[in-house]
Amino acid sequence: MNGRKLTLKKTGNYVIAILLFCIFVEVTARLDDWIKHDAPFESTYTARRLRTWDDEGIRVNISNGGFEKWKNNSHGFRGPEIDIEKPANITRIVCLGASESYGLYESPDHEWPAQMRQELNGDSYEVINAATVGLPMTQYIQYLEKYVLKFSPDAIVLYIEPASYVAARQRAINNPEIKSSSPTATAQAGFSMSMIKESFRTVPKLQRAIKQFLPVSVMNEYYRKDALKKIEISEKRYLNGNAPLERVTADCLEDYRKDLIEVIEFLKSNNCQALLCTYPSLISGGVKEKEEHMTIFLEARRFVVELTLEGMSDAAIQLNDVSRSVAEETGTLLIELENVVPRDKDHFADNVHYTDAGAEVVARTMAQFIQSNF
Amino acid sequence: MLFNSFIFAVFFPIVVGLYWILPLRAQNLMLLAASYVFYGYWDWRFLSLIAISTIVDYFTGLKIQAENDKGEKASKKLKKRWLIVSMVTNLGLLGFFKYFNFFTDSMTDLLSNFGIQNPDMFYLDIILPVGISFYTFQTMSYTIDIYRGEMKPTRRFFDFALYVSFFPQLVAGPIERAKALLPRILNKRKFNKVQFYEGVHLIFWGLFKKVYVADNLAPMVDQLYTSSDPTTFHVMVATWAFYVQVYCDFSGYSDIARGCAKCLGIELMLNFNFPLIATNPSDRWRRWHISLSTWLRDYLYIPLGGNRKGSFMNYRNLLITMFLGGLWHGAAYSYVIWGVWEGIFLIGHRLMRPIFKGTEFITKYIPYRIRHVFRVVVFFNLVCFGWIFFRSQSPGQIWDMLQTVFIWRGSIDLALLIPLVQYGGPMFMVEIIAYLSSKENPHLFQKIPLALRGAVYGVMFYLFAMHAASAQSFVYFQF
Repeated sequence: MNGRKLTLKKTGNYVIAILLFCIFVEVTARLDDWIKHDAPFESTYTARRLRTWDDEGIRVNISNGGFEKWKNNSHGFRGPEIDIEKPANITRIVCLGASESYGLYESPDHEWPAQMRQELNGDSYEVINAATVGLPMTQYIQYLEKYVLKFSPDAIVLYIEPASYVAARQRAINNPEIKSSSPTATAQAGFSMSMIKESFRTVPKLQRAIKQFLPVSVMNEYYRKDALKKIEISEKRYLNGNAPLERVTADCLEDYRKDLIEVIEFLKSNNCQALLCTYPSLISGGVKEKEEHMTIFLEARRFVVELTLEGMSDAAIQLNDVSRSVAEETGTLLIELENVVPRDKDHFADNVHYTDAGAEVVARTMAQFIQSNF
Repeated sequence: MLFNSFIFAVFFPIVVGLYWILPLRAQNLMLLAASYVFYGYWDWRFLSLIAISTIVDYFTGLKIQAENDKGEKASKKLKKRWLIVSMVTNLGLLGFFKYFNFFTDSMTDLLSNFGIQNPDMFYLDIILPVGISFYTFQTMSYTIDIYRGEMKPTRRFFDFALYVSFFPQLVAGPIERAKALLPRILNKRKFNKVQFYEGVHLIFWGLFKKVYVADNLAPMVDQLYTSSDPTTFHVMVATWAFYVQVYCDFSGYSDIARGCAKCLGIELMLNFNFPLIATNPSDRWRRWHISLSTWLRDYLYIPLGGNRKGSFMNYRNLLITMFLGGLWHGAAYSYVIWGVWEGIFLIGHRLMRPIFKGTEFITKYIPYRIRHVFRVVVFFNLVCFGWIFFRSQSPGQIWDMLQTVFIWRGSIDLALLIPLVQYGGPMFMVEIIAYLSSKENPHLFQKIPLALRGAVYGVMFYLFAMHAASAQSFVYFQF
């Protein structure tokens, strides 16, 4: 064999070896998912297996959907199986909200509704986690009507994220051509995946592994720059030349009040008690005082670019005040959570999502409240 | 600096890159500086101990050689004195930093038996310098070998300093002899593609063993060993897992060390040669932590008389050697008891040899392979028995564990085996194939076709990268 052929053969061998390396990394990733999560081997495996939009455009969980640590029951709720028929002598509590309630960073069975279920000890209470990642407050009534009320709940905990509400409303004003756009807390935790990530299981896994391996300071800098870049893109896309809000407008607060009252009245008309709660977040403690949380704030802002950081903080504070006044006005029970969860990284995994410890504080507070009121 | 850390992933390629563009002398100086950075990254204050060890042994080596050069006129007394200076310095450092509190605690316990109660009387808050057991043993071998006339000292101070502090093996071995490593440091190295590939492979394989196997088994072992009421099966699985963990942790480190050295064109000795398939205690110590066992053999067991002065003395020497070997591992009773157990184990094996021979008339009818596998399995479990002493936190826990082992308690929960199979399984598979293909050298990978290698590396890479537990320091750092 002459030199050229030999070189070609060698190069060919290396190319085959590299190809086989990549193929086997991917095959092992798929096998790993199959063993650990019962994931399909051949098709894509993403968080989209958990939720979708129904024919009316309502955000819903997929029944029996599962992705990694997240599993839905046959009704599409996170948690154990439940009967539609309410058992006798049981107070059925439904938790309604978005990703903070569905659970994102917590280990399995440590999202606050699950911990509340354990706190209430299950004897005379049944807790249903009906939260759906990305469910906006404006869809609550439709969602309740279609998916929740058939379970005859005694009470429904309304856990509403303020910044997303304000931003969604403002986005609709800034972009009248966009019918419905609900920036949600969901996306804040990186639930959306690109096409490449979806085709190759290795890519997102590798990204995660690299993030874990790199020092925190390096990653913080990366997240900060990445968030700033994404904020710039989103601002161009959604602000339509308008400036982001420094403060929540009076109109917005009024809309929120009306929407909230509408949900409460709807529940009342269906013999169901609403349980309103104030919303804890890192940013409601102020922006300037919490420089160490700046990366987290920026990461959160990229989903609600209609608000500045101060605007996000203002939304958190002001909408909580509206919730308090609405509770008083309508005689609704109110659970004070805003200042209950310590604003630190032990309790918050990002601006609004909890760690196991944070979820535990929320669950304990709620459970105590429920036990003393039901 | 940990091998399995981000900072090392940045540090090592820079060192390798710089290294191969520099001439020999500059290479060694750069490696010396890199080694001090590597160690100082953990705690720069303890660099002074390495420097003391280096300076003392460099000069004592030269002084002893000066006497050697005098031939007949050499003063044996003077030679011995210089050797003692080296020994006292190294063992003094080791004794103070590693054993001071152990001995004073023992003394306090003893005094309290006589009614003298002052528990904190001798206690000092001493930090154990990482790797002190390794580099002190390494430098002592240099002076002893010169004393014995087995080698000549080097006059190149910085090269000698590099021998003492060579970063790949500085903190957890292999404990290299000066007569083997020093010439490799002094002589010019040439970049060799095959050697470099072997190095990269060893680094990768070592990281796999450390990060995928050992670090993932560690929580399971910790949990089982802190369980308040373990079942017998619990203890068995925990101990099997600990054997696999400690093997992968330590041999993983050795592989990475050898791999890094190979990338720098320097060969380090093989420290583990398939120890899990050993069939008897002597065989095991020829396969496990070879650099320490040969060190103890050459500088302790043989000088004590070895097997030259009859059976009794032989057994005594074995017991002393293994006792000190146990103590070398750490200043705790569990290590001492483990060392004594290993000594008894070796003696027991020697005593049982005639009995084993006597059963050959029966066993010869059993195919060799079946006999061999049976012996491996039985011996694996006997070694595990010893690990109970090693892993237990206190003599009280040892006692509890032994009771649980000998008096069957609870049921068999096969689910406990899942992590062991999940994390240990791939390692066992590769090691078994490697052993079957090459009984002397675990270099399976160069022999298999490149394409297949790509596939195997793919699987390993996935397991290693995706299942990496958070970076934990190496178990043997504490020794």
